[in-house]
Amino acid sequence: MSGKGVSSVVGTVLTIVMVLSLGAAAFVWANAMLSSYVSSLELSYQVYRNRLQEDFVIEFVHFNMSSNTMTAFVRNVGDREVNIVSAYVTAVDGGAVESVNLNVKVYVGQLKPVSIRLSNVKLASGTEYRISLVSALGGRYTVVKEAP
Amino acid sequence: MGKGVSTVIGTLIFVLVALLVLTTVYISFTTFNKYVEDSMIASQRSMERGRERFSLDGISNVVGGRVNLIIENGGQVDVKIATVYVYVEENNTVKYYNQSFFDGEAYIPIGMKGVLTVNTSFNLSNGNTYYFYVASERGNVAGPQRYSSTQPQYPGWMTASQVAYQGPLKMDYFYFYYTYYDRGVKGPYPAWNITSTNNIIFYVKIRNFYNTSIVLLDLSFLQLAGGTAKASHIYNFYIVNSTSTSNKLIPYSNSKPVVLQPNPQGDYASGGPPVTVLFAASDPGDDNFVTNVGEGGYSVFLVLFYRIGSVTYAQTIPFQGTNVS
Repeated sequence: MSGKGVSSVVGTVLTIVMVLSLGAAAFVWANAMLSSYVSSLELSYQVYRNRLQEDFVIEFVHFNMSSNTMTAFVRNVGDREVNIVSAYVTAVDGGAVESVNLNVKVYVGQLKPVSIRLSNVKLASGTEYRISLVSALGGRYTVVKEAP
Repeated sequence: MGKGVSTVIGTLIFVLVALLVLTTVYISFTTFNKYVEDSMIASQRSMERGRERFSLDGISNVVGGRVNLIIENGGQVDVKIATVYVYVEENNTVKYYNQSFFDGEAYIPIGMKGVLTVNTSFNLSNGNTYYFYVASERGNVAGPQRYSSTQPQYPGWMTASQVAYQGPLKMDYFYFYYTYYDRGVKGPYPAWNITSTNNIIFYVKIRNFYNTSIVLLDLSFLQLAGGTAKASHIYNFYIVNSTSTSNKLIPYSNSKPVVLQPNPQGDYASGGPPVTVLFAASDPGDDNFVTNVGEGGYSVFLVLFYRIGSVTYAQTIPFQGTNVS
């Protein structure tokens, strides 16, 4: 009788230990997985949200033939700061494409002249140029302007 | 009892995991919700930018670097001008002016035509060719509008700011010149700078935005009203026959009235041909006259009495203030 009682106690203890260990393992696993899921979800959505909040336009482009430089007047019309990191310039009718590295911050509502000094593309009067500015978040704005 | 304990522990663990899942779902939902809100704001912004449409119709009253830009809002949202760009052809330079260079707010309601006064740093009468562009807060751009002092200018192009337009008559942009025959000075320079009101004739272009003809009556007048502490009076200028000159005023007669034709399409949108109506400081028919207007700022109104068919109406059209100095 006492042997039966002992085995019952042992059985119960074993059951409890198994439930605890399996439950703890399941909890740790679920916690890790869901935390990772939430983090990556928040990160992804934050990137999307940042992109949605970012908005900028090129209002005006001024060409300086003598210094082979163009100045794009950029306005931040979005809800977050924009960091312009590169510019791409090419003549609309073909020819070389020039990429220029930039680091220009434009704050919300601000208008900022962005100077683009060209070396591969030679500015010429009467030629149309396609100018693209790209932000650190991957936002892009493109205009076509004719050099006077 | 021992089995009961393990059930309780199992249940607790299950509840914890369930809470974890629910928390995750809640956070996911909240994150997604924020994303949706941002998407809606971005869409709204993009949509408003697309619905915004305005044009730079003209340049007037160039005095030194001060210039009036006539801007028409033909879009579906109100427009606020944020920047004016001036490009000088001769030396290939550009300057831009933000709202701190504007007189007043550069706000143009839907369907309205407004004047934006900008104080530029250029001497615009130096014969150079200037190209003006205007950019809105949403990033849309209108222009260019060319200006060169060597090209013939309309004398004192002005525009009604057309606030509180409530009737069929609407003042189009018009040239608003006046003559000082007693001083031998021909206006305008600038158009609103009235040195003496004694012998002025105001030439005002008016359009009919109704779909039937409008007959102006002799009770109509132009009014300078308000003023500052220096002058806080009301001065009325009387409608006169449109063949009047500053040397010879002819009374306005209801038997030979000014008739404002409706627009050819017969709708309310485009307006009929503009007609120039004259308002003088003296009313030759009734011996009324306007005494000297003192220095100060005034609001200007057109108070028009007119007939549509057999019914008589009256309408006040306010437009921008003037400075009398």
